[in-house]
Formats: sequence, C-alpha cells, structure tokens
Amino acid sequence: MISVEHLKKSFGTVEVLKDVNIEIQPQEVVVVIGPSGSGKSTFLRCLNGLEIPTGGKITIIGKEITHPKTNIHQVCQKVGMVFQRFNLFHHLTVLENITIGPRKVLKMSKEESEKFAMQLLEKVGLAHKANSYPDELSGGQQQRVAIARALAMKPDVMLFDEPTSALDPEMVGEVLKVMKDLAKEGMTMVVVTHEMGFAKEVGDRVLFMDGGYIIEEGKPEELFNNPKHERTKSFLGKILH
Amino acid sequence: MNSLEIMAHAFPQLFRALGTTVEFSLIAIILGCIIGLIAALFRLSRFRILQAISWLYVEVFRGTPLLVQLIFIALGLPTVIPLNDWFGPRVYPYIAAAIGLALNEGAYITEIIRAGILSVDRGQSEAAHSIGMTRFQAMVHIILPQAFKRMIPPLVNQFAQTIKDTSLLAPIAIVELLYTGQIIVSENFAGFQIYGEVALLYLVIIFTLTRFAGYLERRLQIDKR
Repeated sequence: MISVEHLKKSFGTVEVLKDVNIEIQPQEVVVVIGPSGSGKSTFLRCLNGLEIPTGGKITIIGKEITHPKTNIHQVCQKVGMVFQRFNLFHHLTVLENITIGPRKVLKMSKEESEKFAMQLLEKVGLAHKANSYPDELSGGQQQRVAIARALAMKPDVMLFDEPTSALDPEMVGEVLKVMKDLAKEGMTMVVVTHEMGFAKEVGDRVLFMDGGYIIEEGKPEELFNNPKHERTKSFLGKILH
Repeated sequence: MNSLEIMAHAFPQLFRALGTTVEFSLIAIILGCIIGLIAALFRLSRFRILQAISWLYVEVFRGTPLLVQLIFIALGLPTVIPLNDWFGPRVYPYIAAAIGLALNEGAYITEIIRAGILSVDRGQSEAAHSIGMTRFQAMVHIILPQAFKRMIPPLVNQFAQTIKDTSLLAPIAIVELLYTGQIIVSENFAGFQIYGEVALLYLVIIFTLTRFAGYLERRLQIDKR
C-alpha cells in the first residue's frame, strides 16, 4: 500500500529525515513514536505531499508520488490527513467542511455529498452539530469533524499527526474511540501519537524514530516491553514514567 | 448674496461634477481591485517571473507621486505615441485618468490583498491540500473567503483615499469636483464658500462609504470569523 525507500528531507542545511525505509500493508495500523524533532511529523507530511522529499522514493497505491510526472493531487486525495490543530475551515459550517472536498474535487452533487456527510457525522457522533461553525465546538468535537472531513474523500490511507496532543485530557478518549473504530473497520492508518493504550489495542506495528531514522520497529507489546535499542529504552523510560 | 445663497447657487453645478468624481472613483476602485488581486496572486505564485512583475509594478506605482503618474500618462505618453489621434484629443485624457488612477490604487490594493492572504493560517491551505484541492481551488474556496473579511478595514481606507485622489485629476483638465469649484471661484471669487462646499461634498461621500463598510462588517460578523 505504501512503500518508502531511502527517504530524505532537508530544510535548508538541517537534514530532518536521513534515510527512512518502510513498507506498509493494506489494513495495517502503524504507530510512529519518537522524541520531538525526530522527524516523525515530517515523515508523515511527506506521505501526502505536504513536504516534497529531497531524496528517495515514495510509492502509494502503486503511484510513485516522488516522480515529477505524477499528479500529486490525484494521489493525495486518496490519502486522508488529520492534523494536530484540526485545521477545520473556519468560514464553513461543519457540514460544509465535510462536503466541500467531495463537491469541488470529486464533483459530487450537493445532495449526494450531504447525504454521505451526514452518515459520517453520525459515525463520529456529531450529526446534531451539522450546522454549527467549527469555533462553536470543543477541541474533541472539532477533531472528530476533521476525521469525518478526511473520510468524505473515501481515502485508502489515513494519516494522523498527533491527533490528540492539542486536546484537553477529557476529550482524548472520544477521538481515540473514533480512530479505534476506524482501525477495526480495516482502514490503513499511520498514526503519530504517544497514546500507548491506542498503540497496544489496535496497533499492528510501532516504529520508533530518532534523528531522522527509524531506529526500531516491532509489535506494540514487544517494542514497549522489550525495547532492543538503547535510545528506544531511554525514550520509553521517559514517557512511561 | 449671502454665503448660503452663494453655496446654494453653485450646488447644481458642483453636484453634477460630484457625479464625475464618483464615476472615476468607482472605475478606479473596481479596476484597482481586479489589478490588485491579479498582482497579489502573481506575487504569491511559484513563478519567479510573475513575482518579479508584481514586485516591480508595486514598487514603481507606490514609489512615484500619483500626480506625476497622471501627468506622465495624460501628457507625457502622447508626445511619443499618437494616443490623442487614436482615441481623440477629448477622450484620451479621460482614459489616461482612469488608467492612471486604477494602476495607482491597484498597487496599494495588491499589498492589502497580499497581507490578507498571508494572514490566513498555513494550516488552512494544508488541510485543503490534504483533501485533494489544487492550489487554485484552495485559494478560491478556502483562503480568499477568510482573507476577505480581514481585508475590509484596510480596503475601505484605500477606497476613501481613492475618492480623495480623484481631486488630482484637476491638473490634467478633467472637470471633476475640485476643478469645477475652481471654475466657479474664477467667476464669483467666493473661494471660502465654494472650496468649503467642495470639501463638504467629499466628506459626505466618504462618510457614506465608511458607514456602508461598517454595516458590511457587522453583517459578516454574523457567520463567525
């Protein structure tokens, strides 16, 4: 589904990703952890074209997005992204936030897109907020709308960039529940998060990134309980207390 | 005649001239907004050549006095290009006036629109990209609607400036409000009353504009940011 070979990304003289290699299978849930500045967000952003890699090759659903001739917008509409800061469109209602992609990009009719949007809102438990504006919602509600907005494009892969880090603690659960449901339905997911409970419950694989490399990977239980690499041990020691 | 009678007597003629002033203001504002939007998009595009064109345009028109620009276009250009023959010597000054004003306003509006676009959080265009929108779609559906509301106060400022700037058309012989006032004063020598009346008429239109803008802003507040 996703194949990354020798991915490199520099910002000016700072090399954030040095050599990242990974294969992700359909329906797999991959959790990415690592200290801040380790390159995990940049890695995720490279997967949907928000950052243009400096080197290496990324293939998504058989399309090489790093190839200059590939229409990146066509590939990326199949890759959903959920941001740490939600990034809902402030000038649109919840319903319009979800329908604008299908209508403008997929050229779906208003009726059809609204019907589908209501199903998605039902799924994330926010059908009653369809006509509210994003700023009238709590953080947890906004993030669930953001997930629905991404799902409206019927993506093959969903990327989550620290989706619960900007939330008040009592709202983390509602967002994680939606994500767990999604994982159980068989969605392919790449999730940057430090929610160990989530990783253990639905994660198939955990990647530990540091200094622009994937240092270690394995099944969640394995990696959390018996980290092999020194840096993984010291990182887990800090976050698991 | 007392002062009020002098002003009342001149009013019909000044009111007609006010029409010319409003016409030139509207043309300059509308064309200026179109030019400004295009130049702002050029400046923010990925293409160096478009960025350079926009930059040069803004620097030239912001860096020289409007009066010099108007005189150059209306009186300077026809000395090397037979514009007066092409358009007719009575029509060309009007074209020159409209184009000169619009290009000047456009330069300032470019910067207002550019600042408005840049004030919209990067996350908005990233989210638009993530649902497959092209840069153009993101600009039209996501960025500009949000930028527009923030651009209203500085745009209104600029529109008020444009209305006042039309008084600089007098030296290139466009019979607008100020020039009409000068003609009247040359006949009745009542400078105090007539120029006072001219100033008052400018104040009335600009006050109308700012009231309307205030109303527009309150209306747009209803649907949040």
